[in-house]
Amino acid sequence: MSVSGSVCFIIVVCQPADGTREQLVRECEMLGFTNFCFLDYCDDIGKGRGKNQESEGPTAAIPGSSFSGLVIFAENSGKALKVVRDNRKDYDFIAIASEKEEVLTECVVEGGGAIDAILPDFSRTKAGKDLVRSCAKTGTALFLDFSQILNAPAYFRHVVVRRMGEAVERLQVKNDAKLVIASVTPDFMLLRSPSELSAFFQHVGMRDVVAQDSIGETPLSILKSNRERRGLPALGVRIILTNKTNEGV
Amino acid sequence: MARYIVFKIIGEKGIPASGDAARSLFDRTVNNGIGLLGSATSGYHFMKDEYGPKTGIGMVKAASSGLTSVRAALALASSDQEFGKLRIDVLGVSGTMKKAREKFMK
Repeated sequence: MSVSGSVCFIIVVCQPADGTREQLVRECEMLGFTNFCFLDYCDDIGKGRGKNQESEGPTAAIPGSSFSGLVIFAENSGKALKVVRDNRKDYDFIAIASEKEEVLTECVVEGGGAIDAILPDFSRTKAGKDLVRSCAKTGTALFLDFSQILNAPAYFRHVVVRRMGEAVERLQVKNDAKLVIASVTPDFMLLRSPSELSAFFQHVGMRDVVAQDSIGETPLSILKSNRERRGLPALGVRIILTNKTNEGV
Repeated sequence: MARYIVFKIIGEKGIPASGDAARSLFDRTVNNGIGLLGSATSGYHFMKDEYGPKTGIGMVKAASSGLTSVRAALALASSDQEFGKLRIDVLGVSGTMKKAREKFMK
């Protein structure tokens, strides 16, 4: 990402439901992406911005950041990779979304560090987890998926927790822009609230965590006021965001 | 300074039927999460008289310095031999028992 000097942690807690695309649009707007673009199944390649979902969004709250992102719903991996390669320099953020494991696997293998994110609802697959590892290795992005801990066998949990702690430590040492998405399982029993996740990530060493409960409000203004109150510049932010679709369960 | 954490237990196979059973569950959970030394330094204490067996709502006490650790441990609870899959939701945290009861347990 091109916003050097700022660290942007974005943790999306998502209990997937219908309307994933609409959720993603809202999430991206909430995250301050003013200039992001969705491509459906890569069919829109060559048509400029395709089915553009540009929005002004609540971006003013983080000074100096106007993220630009590309989200690709990639069912044709060849085209997806081409988009990643061709557009890398134009976007701060490139995400691949697909329900097909093989697509993601190919993107991991060939796209490598060019991909910044794999979007919620998709990172539960094995390929998604491989992508996480790949991104963590290249330093492009890091994903902390809390459900990995809860799903891990008891004898192995401490290893997962330790790795998360190490990853957080690595990120905090390197003061360049990063994106972190923690996507959580659709299983209600494994879903945790942002404040609980916030506590966990603080426990493993993350600083300045802000928990946000509703997608209807901007977390950015909360972040800004929190940091202003503490006399800190509005950089180095961590956002926890949830779409809170777990009502009525 | 102590903090009072109000929680709610949601279990697949029901919830603890008494304060003692809930305490046992919490002791296991916190020990699994942050260990014996962690629970000692966090000032964790289960308040069994505050537990409601019908609602699954209760209260634990923690030192303010150990609040994060205890919450993290509760977030890590995902299953138990007795109650199957379970989650422990933190309803709120307060600095006094009175306020905790008024705000989160009514």
